[in-house]
Amino acid sequence: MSGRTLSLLAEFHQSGDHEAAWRLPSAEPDRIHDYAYYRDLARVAERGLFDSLFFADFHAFRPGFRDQMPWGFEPTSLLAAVAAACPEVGIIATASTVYSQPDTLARTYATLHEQTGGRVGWNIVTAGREAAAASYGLAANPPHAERYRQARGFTDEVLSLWEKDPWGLGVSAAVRPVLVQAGSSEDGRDFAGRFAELVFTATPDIASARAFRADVRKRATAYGRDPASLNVSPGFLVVLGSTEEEARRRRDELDDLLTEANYRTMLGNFGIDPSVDLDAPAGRLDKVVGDGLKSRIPVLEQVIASHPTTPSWRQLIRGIAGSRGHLHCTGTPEQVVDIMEEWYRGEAADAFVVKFSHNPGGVQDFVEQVVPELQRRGLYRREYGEDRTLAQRLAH
Amino acid sequence: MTTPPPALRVLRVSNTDLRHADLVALAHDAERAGLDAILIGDDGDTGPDPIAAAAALAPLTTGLGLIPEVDTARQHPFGLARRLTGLDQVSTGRAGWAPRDTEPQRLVEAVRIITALWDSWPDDVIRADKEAAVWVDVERVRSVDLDGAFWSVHAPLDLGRSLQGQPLLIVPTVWPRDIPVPVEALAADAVTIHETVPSEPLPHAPTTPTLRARAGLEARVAA
Repeated sequence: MSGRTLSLLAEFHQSGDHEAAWRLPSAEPDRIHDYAYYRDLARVAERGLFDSLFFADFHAFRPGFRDQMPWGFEPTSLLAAVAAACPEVGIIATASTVYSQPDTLARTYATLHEQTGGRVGWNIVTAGREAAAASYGLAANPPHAERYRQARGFTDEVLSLWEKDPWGLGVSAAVRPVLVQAGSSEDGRDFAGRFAELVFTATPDIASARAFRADVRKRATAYGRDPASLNVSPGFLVVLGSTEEEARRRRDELDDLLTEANYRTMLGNFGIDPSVDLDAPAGRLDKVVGDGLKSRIPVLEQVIASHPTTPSWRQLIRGIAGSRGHLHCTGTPEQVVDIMEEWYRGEAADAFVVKFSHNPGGVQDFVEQVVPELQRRGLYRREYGEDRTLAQRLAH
Repeated sequence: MTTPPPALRVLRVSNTDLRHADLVALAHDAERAGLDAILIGDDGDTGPDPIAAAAALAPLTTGLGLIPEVDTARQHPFGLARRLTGLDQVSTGRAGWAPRDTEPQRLVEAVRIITALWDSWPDDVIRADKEAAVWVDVERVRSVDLDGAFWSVHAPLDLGRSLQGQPLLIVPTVWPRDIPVPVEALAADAVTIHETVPSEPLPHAPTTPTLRARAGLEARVAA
């Protein structure tokens, strides 16, 4: 073995990734803005030797917040503080190329880089939700292709500023924040091949993950990059139990807490008419509107195709709650590790963004039950070792 | 309140060539000296981002106010409102902010938008009611609709209300000499600071819960 091992990223939604997790008895939804809550989760992730935490960002108030907890922090300010309290774990903060200025963003991430000794990554998003345009006084987000054209120029400018380091913060062309990106559309893949060192992707099965990885690595090669410098990281929703039954019960408990409005919000998020009859068979997604989350549509179509009979909209949503088209496993630690091992050894994944079904509790269970099994099979580090920067940890 | 608010005693540090380790040492000095706050000046592209620098100080200090100087020309007010809300949360209510701008009208406009965004979530709007499946009373969150000469916003803040309601606004310390500082136009409770670097350590000040409290202000309430 070259010494290279699997990398793990911890998705840091406050109550976990399942839409109803905030209503579990163990959830602490009133602590959404409590820094200490996130710091304590981060310390658990650090105990589990995670490469990095990951915090998303959407810039938009939505009526769906009525029954679905949002991401409650601007990522760079939260993670600057978390990293100051956690000496090892990396931080990946999302920031938009539509709503930021390149010079301001470059300086913010260079500052995080200096503060953390190089443990920072920038998750590059163009713009996610259409509603975010109004937050910044815009009539609409730029169209998909235009957003990516803009993102390329923006990222080039940020890289060039890091190379010059006008702030004296110790960034350079070689040592700088890690570039992270998600989005699997044609434009998104091209962008990944050109820039990204870590690519988040929603790939529900190993064949599509392997094809995706081969594709973006090929694109990286075409841009003159070493394909091994691009780490593909599928999202992986984990619902753990000490037995399959226990895991299944936990999953049912979560799904049973979904509200009618949760179903309709999720449909809307995929661009599907939220007023459909939930018990009618899921259609062929021909009611899709807008191009907000283009890359998720084939994912949904695949989920529908994998059902033995056509599922109802309700069944479809129940099946993808929490994972929303990502790989998911409801099972024992061994079953979870079996999947990770198969994907890692099978060249479908270099890393995983672990999406905990619920928190607190999800990250603790993962660190106590899954991490030792990964280590036992030689898939994962046993200590952080001498690597200090996020880039080094991803590479090893 | 009958007595005038106490003037804050603040250490101003320029961000020029400032390193994280040096800033931490200065913050600890200020804290030991019993100062109310540290203000991280934004003297251009010669040093770190003051907001990120202040956020990293939060877990490393206990009672010290954290005041980044904020250039309102460089970032959209919506983005600034979010970042300063975050600073207030990670410091459990110790955030202030000192806006600066080469264009005074743009500064005033940014302050108006940012303070309005901070009041867009009423104090008790987050219910986190598991039984009723209501996390927030969305109808009570108010959109901010302002079209200024420089900036526009047509939305409420997306992140909820900050711990102090409003991070403490410091009257700009950098301002064109020939224009009077429009204190009234900025906000009702803007505070002027006295910059000081004490030569003798002062006795440790009693820890107050928020920077607003240190400035003699109540938490800002939005109903």
